[in-house]
Amino acid sequence: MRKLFVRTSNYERFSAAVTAVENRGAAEAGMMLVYGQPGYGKSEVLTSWAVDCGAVFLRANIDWTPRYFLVELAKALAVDPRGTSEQLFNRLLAVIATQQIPLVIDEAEATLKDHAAVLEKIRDFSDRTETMVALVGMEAIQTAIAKYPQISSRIAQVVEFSPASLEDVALACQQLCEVRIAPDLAAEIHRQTAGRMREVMNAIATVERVGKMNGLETVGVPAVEGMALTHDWRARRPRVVGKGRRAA
Amino acid sequence: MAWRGLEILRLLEGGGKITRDLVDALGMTKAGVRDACKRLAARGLLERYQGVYCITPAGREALVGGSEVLTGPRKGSCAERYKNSLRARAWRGLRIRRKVCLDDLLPLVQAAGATKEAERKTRQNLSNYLHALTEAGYLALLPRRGGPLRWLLTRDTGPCAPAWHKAGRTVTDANTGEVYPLRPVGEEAEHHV
Repeated sequence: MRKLFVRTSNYERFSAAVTAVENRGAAEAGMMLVYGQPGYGKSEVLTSWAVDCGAVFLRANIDWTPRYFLVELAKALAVDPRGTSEQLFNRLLAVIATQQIPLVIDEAEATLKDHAAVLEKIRDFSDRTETMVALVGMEAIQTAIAKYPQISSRIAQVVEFSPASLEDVALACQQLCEVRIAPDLAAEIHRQTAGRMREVMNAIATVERVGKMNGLETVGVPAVEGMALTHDWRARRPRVVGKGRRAA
Repeated sequence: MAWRGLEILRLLEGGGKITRDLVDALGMTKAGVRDACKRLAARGLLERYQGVYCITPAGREALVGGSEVLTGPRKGSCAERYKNSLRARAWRGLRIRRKVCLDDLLPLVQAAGATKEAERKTRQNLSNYLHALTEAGYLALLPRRGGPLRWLLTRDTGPCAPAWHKAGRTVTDANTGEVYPLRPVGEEAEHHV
């Protein structure tokens, strides 16, 4: 299986939002919210973007305090973490402002405790340096942030990560699988996985194995009939490709 | 104009001086003296108090030790040369993921639409880099559990990627300025990727 980054529709929407934030009118509204259910590729897309643009990527911990956050940020930027919080904040401000380093905060729900004390600190950086901050979280984060108008008003773009479309799955099959996957099987993978990219990857690996073992150039539904491509964790049983199944 | 840092320190050894004294003694311009003193102060070799330049204990040590006080990059002051090279991207990916196998890093470092041949070369380059970082002490190999090799980032010195010089068998850290010599070819640990 090839190891490439597939530019799905979620990635395209995210890229468009980044461009919109970069070209924003209000300088202080430099924050962006990315949310969605697990398995839709939020962390993958944000990691790839952070590597591309050299952003600082921090995963928020449940026990984060403003000081803990500042120390983590200092470590990421190789800034001396000693001194008072004020000194540390000013030191970090100088580095971020001069180098215009974007910030990604994954699992951003953890920044909301204690009346969003940590998120307020993050907002301070965004306000003063005018650099972009991407907050990444689950579905409930948008409602939770809405309780703090001084923060939500600074969110210039909201990107919801949705299940991969049939076109996304077909694109992933085409780019990642070393044997050709027929459109009917791509549709079956999409149906079984409900667009969860993590499961799509597993299904592609299985299909590639079947194709290589049987010396097939193209693998369609008939070649994998009766086989388990993915696993249904709720029902605790494998999802088997049924006989005679064809894409709708 | 040549760098006169050492001469300035020698003059200050006899006692504090103001800019005008140094200008007269060295025949330099006022701006030149100020610039040189600023650089020496940044290295902690002299300090300025109420317009008077004085040599610091570190400055005396530099004179006694006869060490050259040169301009140019010092430990930890050199910049990363290629911010978007494969290794720079791999280092950024390592700092984000912390625990990786080759397959985790490949999608982050490869160009979109890379051919199979390009992917093979990238995989080899990345594997060599990770093994060099392991030998230099930046990464630790995790116990293998039937799957691919996995590494844990154990020494994160900063945002600049450590540079691996294959021919010289050294890893140079642009964040700290440290240079780590690696064992000569043939003596390195056996790797299975």
